[in-house]
Amino acid sequence: MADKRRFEMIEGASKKFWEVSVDGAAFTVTFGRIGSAGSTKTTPCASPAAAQAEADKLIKEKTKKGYQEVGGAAPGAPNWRPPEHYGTHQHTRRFMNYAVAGFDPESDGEADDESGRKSYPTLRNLDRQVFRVGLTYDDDEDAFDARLDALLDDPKVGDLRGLLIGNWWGDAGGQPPHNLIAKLIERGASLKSLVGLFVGDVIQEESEISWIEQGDFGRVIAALPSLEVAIVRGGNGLRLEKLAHDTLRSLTVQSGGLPRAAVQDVAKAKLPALRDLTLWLGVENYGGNSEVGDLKPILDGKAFPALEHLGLQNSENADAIAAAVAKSAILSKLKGLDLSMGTLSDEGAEALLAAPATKNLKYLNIRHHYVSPALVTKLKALGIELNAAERKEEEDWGDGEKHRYAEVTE
Amino acid sequence: MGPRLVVVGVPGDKRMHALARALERGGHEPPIVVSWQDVVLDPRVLRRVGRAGDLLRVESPGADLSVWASLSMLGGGAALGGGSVDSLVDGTEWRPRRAWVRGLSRVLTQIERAASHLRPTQRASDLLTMIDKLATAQHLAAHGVRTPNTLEAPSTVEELRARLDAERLRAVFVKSRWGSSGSGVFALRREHGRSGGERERLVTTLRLDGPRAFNDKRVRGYDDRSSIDALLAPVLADGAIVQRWIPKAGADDGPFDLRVLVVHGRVAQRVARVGKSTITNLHLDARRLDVDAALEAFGPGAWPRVVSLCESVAAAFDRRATIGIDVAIDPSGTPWVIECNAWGDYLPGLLHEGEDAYGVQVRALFGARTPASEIDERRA
Repeated sequence: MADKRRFEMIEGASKKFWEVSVDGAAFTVTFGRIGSAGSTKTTPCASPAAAQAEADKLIKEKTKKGYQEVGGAAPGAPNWRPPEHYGTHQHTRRFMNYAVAGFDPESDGEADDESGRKSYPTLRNLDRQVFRVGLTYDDDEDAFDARLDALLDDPKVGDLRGLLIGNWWGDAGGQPPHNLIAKLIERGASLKSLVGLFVGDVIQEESEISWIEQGDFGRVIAALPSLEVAIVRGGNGLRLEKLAHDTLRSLTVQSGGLPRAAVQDVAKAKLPALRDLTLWLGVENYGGNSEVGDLKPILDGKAFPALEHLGLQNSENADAIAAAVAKSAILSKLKGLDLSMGTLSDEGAEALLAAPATKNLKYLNIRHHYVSPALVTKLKALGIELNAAERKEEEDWGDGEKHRYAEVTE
Repeated sequence: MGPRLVVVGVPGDKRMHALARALERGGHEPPIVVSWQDVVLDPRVLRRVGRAGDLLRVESPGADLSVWASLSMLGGGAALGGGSVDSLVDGTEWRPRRAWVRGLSRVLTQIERAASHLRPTQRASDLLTMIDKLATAQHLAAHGVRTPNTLEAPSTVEELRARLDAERLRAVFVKSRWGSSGSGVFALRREHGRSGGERERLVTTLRLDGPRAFNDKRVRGYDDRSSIDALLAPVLADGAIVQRWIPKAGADDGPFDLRVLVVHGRVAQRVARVGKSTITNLHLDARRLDVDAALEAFGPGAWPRVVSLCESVAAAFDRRATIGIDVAIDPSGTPWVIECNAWGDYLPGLLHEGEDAYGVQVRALFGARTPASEIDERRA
């Protein structure tokens, strides 16, 4: 009998559940109102792998819509899940399971006339939504500061749980968010309920990720007393100096090239509650000049005593990183390891397979990789949840070299 | 006996097969195919084809490279349109189009004259508007259709940069003015970096091999000036447009746009195309996605907004037209018309109410007769 996973969504009067299980080369979904038996549908697939892939895809779609998993997967095991992946092709629509609404003091408080997206002139419904401030392609670049100021001056700002920052530069390219940083530090104490901050909720259609000019967010994070989740996208000029926080549990830095100084800042950070750390290291061509050695304090397991999930992603040195992780002290403490989006090949996979602690992971993600099918099979045989989708072939550009590339490097 | 369908096309081409099958399914007579090669040689061959009242459809000549060469010559260009002999063998080398479109324009007009006993399924003037992206943008703008601001591109890269600076355009598409299929399309972004220096990035399917440019299935990015200049130069010299780059909403794995086929004023087929990059043409590694799934995040009003936009496009052309409309959805959910394709109906495997794109057109053609008064107008 296959393991069944159950998801539920409660929104106002609507209370729905959705269950999925994979059995051989078919998957079965059951869905309906919570409390009812629901309807069941079984879909045959070409292979067990195809059935699993289809089920995984549907799970992703459901969780994106706001469904949350309920009940444990394996009996006895706490229902641990890896942190959510925030991709670079869509604006974030749900952040920490809150709906994301736009904040624009000029808006009329209803759906934008041309679109279904909601944008509000004041903060509201803060028990179920978080807010995003950013410029679109036809906004005047001065509008950003005005919107941010209005949000920070809103009487309900003390109840705001999540804040997402979109494009702040508009037509004036190459602008680091100096004003944003200064304002958040200055007003940090009044953002007393802010649990989540995402700076750079900007999609690739709006900007090359390596063109996002960043600043120093170390003191911003330190200034937000209740912060638990911090995401920063864009590595150019990024620093996280003097990063220290007692409640921060999840830190994600996404880049096409993460500068060495930023990696060193993270390695020196004092984050006793940190459970998830995700770094998109990127490529040298876009400023990713760190070395595996810079990760040493993290891999030693001393930097972050509570760490359960480590993502070292989007790297052109994925094999060297895998080898370092395989030998590290942290591996045996981790539940999740994410080496996705990079150039991982058989070399890195062999290193992971050779490390006894690998099989104690609950979750291993190598999506977007160059590992041979034979070794993927061996990784699968470890019995841990594995995402090995998007196997890539090395490319021959006729220059006598084989080329591998990391996913978000433009 | 009902009317038959006379088709100017490339015999043996996939489009002709699909059309013949659709006619057969509808219980109609097989099409009378006149090859583009013969028509280019002498459009008057059409005088003797079909009976009065039969329908005339002009298919894309694109699949036959010798027709390309003939049209190019007719338009006063070199036989190879300035390309090399190889370009006609493997078809992937980028070829100038100005002479080709001049030749095509001349032949389409001659076809209309030679086939005056037939009822055209689309107007030559509509085909020519849709083949010319500048004309399309101006036509749509004049009819109040939401389409990104489009300019005629200057003929050199240097002038292009000056123009972009003057217009404060940071992100644009530069596209060959004529033809379709994602060839000769560039997404160009420019801005000043932190240090104040200018940076540029060009995304395209073209790949340089010495002085020649080839179309590749893979979309590549360039950020060095010399590659950018070399890639843009031949397309600008031939004739191009600059279109404001409206950011596209995305699926998980990439930005998407929609191809919406309008037949006789109504939406007949639709599909979302998710690209690995901003260039989302299906033959370039893009994947198909269900339109409802793509639009889900924008609420139940998203698709009706696309429909009304596409109907406004249809209203700008002859009501008989078949139009393959490329629609981009911006991140706030607003739809924009990016392109109109006269021959954008080859969408294999896509079904609407059980019919493929050709089936829908066959039904529209044989179900709804063109009123006689319209034929008279055209002859007058």
